[in-house]
Amino acid sequence: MDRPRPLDLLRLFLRIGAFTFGGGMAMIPLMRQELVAERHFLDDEAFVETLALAQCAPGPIAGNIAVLLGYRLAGWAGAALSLLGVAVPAFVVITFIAANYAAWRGQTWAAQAFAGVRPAVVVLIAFAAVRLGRAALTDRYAWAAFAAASVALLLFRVHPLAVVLAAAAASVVRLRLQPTSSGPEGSGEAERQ
Amino acid sequence: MSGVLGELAFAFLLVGLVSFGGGYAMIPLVERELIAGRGWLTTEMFGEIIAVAEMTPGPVAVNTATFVGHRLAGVAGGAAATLAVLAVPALVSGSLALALGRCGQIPQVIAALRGLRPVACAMLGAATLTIFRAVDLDIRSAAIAALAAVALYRRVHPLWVIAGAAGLGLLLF
Repeated sequence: MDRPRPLDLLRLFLRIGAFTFGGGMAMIPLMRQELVAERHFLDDEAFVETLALAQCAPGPIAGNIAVLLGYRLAGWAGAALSLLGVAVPAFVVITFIAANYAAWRGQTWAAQAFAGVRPAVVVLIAFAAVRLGRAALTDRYAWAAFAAASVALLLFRVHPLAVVLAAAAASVVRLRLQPTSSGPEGSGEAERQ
Repeated sequence: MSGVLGELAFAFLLVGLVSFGGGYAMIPLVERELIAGRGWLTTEMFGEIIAVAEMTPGPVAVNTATFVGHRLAGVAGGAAATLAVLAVPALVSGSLALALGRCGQIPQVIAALRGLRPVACAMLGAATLTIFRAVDLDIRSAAIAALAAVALYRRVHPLWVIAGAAGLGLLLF
């Protein structure tokens, strides 16, 4: 796997931060494209683990992913610059809008453009879910966990953090019950520091 | 002035501290802290901020913090609120990253992390549905979605898909 320099991460996350509309979840397809598919900084297994871990910290999920991935790929400087990259475009655009709010309110072009972006973002996230699903849902246990987590999140509105903790605990218990069946299949662990 | 900055920073530090589950999770908190608690905003104003935050790039939490901070105390206020809302999340995820770097080789940790993979897929699925519900279901949205799907299937870069969808939105809506 290639290793980016902290400044590479700043550049990448600035681009990701500048072009994702509709909140942090909308950034995930772009992050996967840039970091996994194009630059091979990490694999889908490690990326999908980071997504779930980001739910364990409070605050915007995109910022947490940036810190987790930035540190993993390029240490503390990587973490700081990745977070900066995610936050700065949002800060600049909103500062501009807030400063010109009276003029901005009369405009409809942003709402029109976003009405077009929204259905595309649904498709983007769905594609990312399918591509990551191919990497993550490799056996019957994973599918069962996926089904259980989906039901918990969608039907019972269980808090994401609780779902994450339950899944981690279940997986550790499973390791203890059948230590031979859980050898490393994905390569996500191999390059973890 | 510095009093407002301090109060802004404190309020958004709190918001960052207790909002688990992404930017939208902080909305009820902002409502309680900034509208009911401090009277800094009206509910209508906040609704507009959310709408602006949605259609501008970046995490909703950062957008909201910047906007509220800017309305109350200019660029400095926006910066203070933004830094504050990111401070605790950055600290917590930084600690997680550090712990992972130190303990990432322990079998139990590896197993726990592998157990998280299906959850992340479920989260993405749930997010897809949540955003899907906000789409106006008409022929234009369907056409844009279909085009996006074809483009992504042909490995067009997501940035071009987003830019194209924005252009179509301007033409069609």
